Amino acid sequence: MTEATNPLAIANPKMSARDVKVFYGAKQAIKGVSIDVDMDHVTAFIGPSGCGKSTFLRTLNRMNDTVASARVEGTITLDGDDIYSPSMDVVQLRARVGMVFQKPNPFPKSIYENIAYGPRIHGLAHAKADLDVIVEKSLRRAGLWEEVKDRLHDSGTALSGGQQQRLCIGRAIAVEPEVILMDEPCSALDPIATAKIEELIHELRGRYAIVIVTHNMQQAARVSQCTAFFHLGDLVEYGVTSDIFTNPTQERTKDYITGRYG
Amino acid sequence: MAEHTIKAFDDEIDRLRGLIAEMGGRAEAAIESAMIALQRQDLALAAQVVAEDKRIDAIEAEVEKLVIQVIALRAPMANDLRDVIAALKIVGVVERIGDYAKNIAKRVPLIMVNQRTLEPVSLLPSMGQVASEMVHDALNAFAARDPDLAVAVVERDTVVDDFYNSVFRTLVTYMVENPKTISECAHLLFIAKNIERIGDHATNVAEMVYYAATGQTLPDRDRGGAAAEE
Ligand SMILES: Nc1ncnc2c1ncn2[C@@H]1O[C@H](COP(=O)(O)OP(=O)(O)O)[C@@H](O)[C@H]1O
Ligand SMILES: [Mg+2]
Repeated sequence: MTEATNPLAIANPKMSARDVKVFYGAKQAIKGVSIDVDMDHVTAFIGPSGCGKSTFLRTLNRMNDTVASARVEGTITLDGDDIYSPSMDVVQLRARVGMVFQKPNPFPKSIYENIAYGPRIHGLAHAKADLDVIVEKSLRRAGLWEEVKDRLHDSGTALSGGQQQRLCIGRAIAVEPEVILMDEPCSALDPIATAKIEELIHELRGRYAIVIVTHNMQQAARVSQCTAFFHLGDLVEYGVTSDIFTNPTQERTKDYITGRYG
Repeated sequence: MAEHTIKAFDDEIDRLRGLIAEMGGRAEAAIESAMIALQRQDLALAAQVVAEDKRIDAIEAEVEKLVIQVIALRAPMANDLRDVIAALKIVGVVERIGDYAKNIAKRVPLIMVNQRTLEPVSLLPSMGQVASEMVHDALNAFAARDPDLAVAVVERDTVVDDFYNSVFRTLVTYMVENPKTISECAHLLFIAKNIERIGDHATNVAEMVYYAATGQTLPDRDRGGAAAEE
C-alpha cells in the first residue's frame, strides 16, 4: 500500500483496486489503476471527459458487466473479498455498492414504491409496517422526507430534478449499502438542488464510503476529502483534496485544475 | 507556463504582477530617496518621498480589488491560487515598507544640528542599501517565481540586523559623548530601526514568494541574534 493509492494511509480500506485495466473491445479505457477507498471519506474522481472516470467507477460494482464489449483485468476487493470472483453474487454486490447516475432515473412508480422496491426484492422487509419504517428512514437520510411525506403515493417522476436525484439516493440507501457511487449526480441540476445534494453527501459521509465522479472541480473541492485525477485512462494523481487543489505534485494535474488543459 | 484556456484570466494575472512590480519599484525608490535626502539634507526630496507614498497606497487598494475579482470570477487553483494569495499578502507588506520609507523621510528635517548634518548619519546609507536591495530581490523573486532568490533574501536579513545592532551601539556612545545631540540621535535611532523593519518585511515577502513558488513553507530559520526588541 503506497501513499499514491491510499493518501490517508487507511489501514482497512473498504474497497481496493489493484492494477485495474478496462478494455472496450481492443480499445483500452483504463490503464492499470490502483486505488483505495474508505468509509470515512468522500473520494472524488476528476478529469477531462473521456478520461475513464465513469468506466473506472463502474468497475467498482461490476456495472461494466452489462457492456458486452467491456473486459476488466486486475483485482478489486470489497472488505478484502474479490468482487470479480465467480462466487460473488452480483445482485447482492450492487446492493452493497449502490450507484446514483447523472440523470435522475426514478422508477415510474410512486415515491413510496421507489424506496420500498429494493428492500422488498432483497428480502430486507416484507410487512408493510417494516417497509414504512425503511421508507421514512431512507427518505429522511436522503433529505427528502419533509418535502414528500404528505404525497408518498404520487409518482416519483413528478418530483423536481433535484428531488428526483435525492429520491434515487434514498433508493440506494434503502438497501443498506456500504458504498455509494455517484456519477456526476448534479450535472442535470440547478445550483440550489446541487447544493442540497452536496449537503446530503456531507451528511452521509462516514455512514457509507462515497465515491463521486464530477466534472466540476469546485464540487470536488467542496465535497471530498480525497481527490483522484484521471487523464487518458491513467490515474495521474490521488491525494488529499486540499493538497490536490493547492499544491498538486503532477504537472498534468496542475494544468488541468488551473484551467490550462488543452 | 502554459496559458489558461480562458485568456482573460492570463490578462488579469499579468496585470496583477505588473502592479506588484510597479509597487515594489516605488518602495525601493522611496527607501533610496529617503536615504539620499537624509545624507544631503534635501528637504524637497524628503517631501517628495512623503507625497509619493500615496501612489503605493493606491496600488495596494487596486491589487486588493483585483485579487477579490480574480478569486470570485476565476476560482484560481493550485499555483494560481498561491500566486494570487501571495500577491494580496505581498502588497500589504510592501505598503508597510513604503510607510517606513515615508517615516524616514519625515525625520530628515529633524536631524539638523547648527546647520550641520549630524556625524553618525554616515552610518545609515549602507544599511539602507542592503534593505532596499532585499526589497528589490524579494520582488524580483516574485516576478521570476524564483525560490532560490527568495531564500537568498531571507538569509540576508541577519546582515541588516547586525547593522542595526552596531548602529545602536555607536549612537549610544555618541549620545553619551555629545549629550546636546540626544534628540537628533534619537531620530537617527528610529531611522535605523525603520530600516531594520524594512529588512524584516522584505524577508516576509521572500517567505511568501517561496511558498507561492513551491507550495512549501520555508523551514523555520534561526531568528536568534536579531535586533533588540522594539
Ligand atoms: N460502452 C462503451 N463502449 C466503447 N467505448 C466506451 C464505452 N464507454 C466509454 N467508452 C470509451 O472509454 C473512454 C472513457 O469513457 P468514460 O469512462 O465515459 O469517460 P469519462 O467518464 O471520464 O468521461 C472514452 O474514450 C469512451 O469513448
Ligand atoms: Mg463519465
